[in-house]
Amino acid sequence: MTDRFWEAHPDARYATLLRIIETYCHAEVYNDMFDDLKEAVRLAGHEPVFDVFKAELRRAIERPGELPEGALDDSAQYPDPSDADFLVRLWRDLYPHEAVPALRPD
Amino acid sequence: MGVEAYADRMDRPDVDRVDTPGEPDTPNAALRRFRPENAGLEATTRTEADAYIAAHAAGHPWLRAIAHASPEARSVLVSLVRGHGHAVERHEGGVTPAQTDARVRRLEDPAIGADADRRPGRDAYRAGKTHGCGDYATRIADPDAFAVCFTRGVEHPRTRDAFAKPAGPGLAPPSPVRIQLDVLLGPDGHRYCDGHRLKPVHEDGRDVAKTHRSNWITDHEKHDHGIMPEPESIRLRPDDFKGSVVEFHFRLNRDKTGWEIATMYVEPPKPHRDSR
Repeated sequence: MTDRFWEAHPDARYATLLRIIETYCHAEVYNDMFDDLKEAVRLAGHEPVFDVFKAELRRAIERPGELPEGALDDSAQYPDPSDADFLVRLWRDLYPHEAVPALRPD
Repeated sequence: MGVEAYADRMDRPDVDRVDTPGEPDTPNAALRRFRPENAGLEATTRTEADAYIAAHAAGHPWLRAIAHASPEARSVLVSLVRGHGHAVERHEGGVTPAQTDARVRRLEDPAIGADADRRPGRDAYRAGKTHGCGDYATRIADPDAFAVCFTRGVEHPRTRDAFAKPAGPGLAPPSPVRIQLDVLLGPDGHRYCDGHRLKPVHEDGRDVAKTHRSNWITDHEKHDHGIMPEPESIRLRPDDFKGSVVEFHFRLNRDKTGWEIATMYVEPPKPHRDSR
């Protein structure tokens, strides 16, 4: 069985990010679900999990090397050239009025 | 020896299913236990199912495939088709191998019923959005097997926990539930699966085949059939599905009162890294 990082390590950093991405952004459901994710982050107060999601998305953009290798593509099956490209696109689509987090040097 | 038609085993207990304590279950018993309301769906009697198929089969080839299933499976599958999800249209046996190939290479959506209306990247349900597909497109190539996989899937304890999550606009749906195929269909369940995988394209040690496919779609639209080479695929045969997982995604049902299955599909094991 192919395990997902977020299933195998539910309390680890990035588990929430990857789980929410698989729920809303996997290629098989993206067109049907992405607008729901936009609405959910707009109403983030209803579900604290979206605060965790945003914090982990910010950190993953700032420190792209921290994400487990292949985990993001497993969860999203994205068409972008890299994890970083997908995450920046996601940030821009979800938080269009906020600056994209800057890359942080190691 | 060919694959046994699933219809021929509907009353035979599946004695070797993994992780399923208790009395062995038959496929027919699993179908009869199904309660659509427990999966956020409307109930469909056998009579209603047959009437629905007769009324809507034109232009909906998946319904023509369902028409050959057992009566119990027809009711389950029509309930599913009448819901909000797209599992049947994209992952059941009404989808042909040529369509899984076209889906993974050209992003042609099998949920567009008429062959002439399919175009690279065109989505059946979201005008203006590029159809989505990962690096594999798969199906359970038998309507009875598909229906049994679905009914056993939605009664699995992890799926029941998911359906119990409070539902409503703005609330996060349950996380996808992933269940081993052999839990749902037994150790030879892979024999009813097939599909296609996008042929890898390596650049700088990474597989960028999905990016190339996305660029090919754009090129195809811009240049009247395009100038880039068309993406290629690898056929997935039943044995490639040994050890696979069935993934269930959730979304709000039509009434926004509960969750239903947005889609259900078989994810084959990843190929070994050195063969990607």
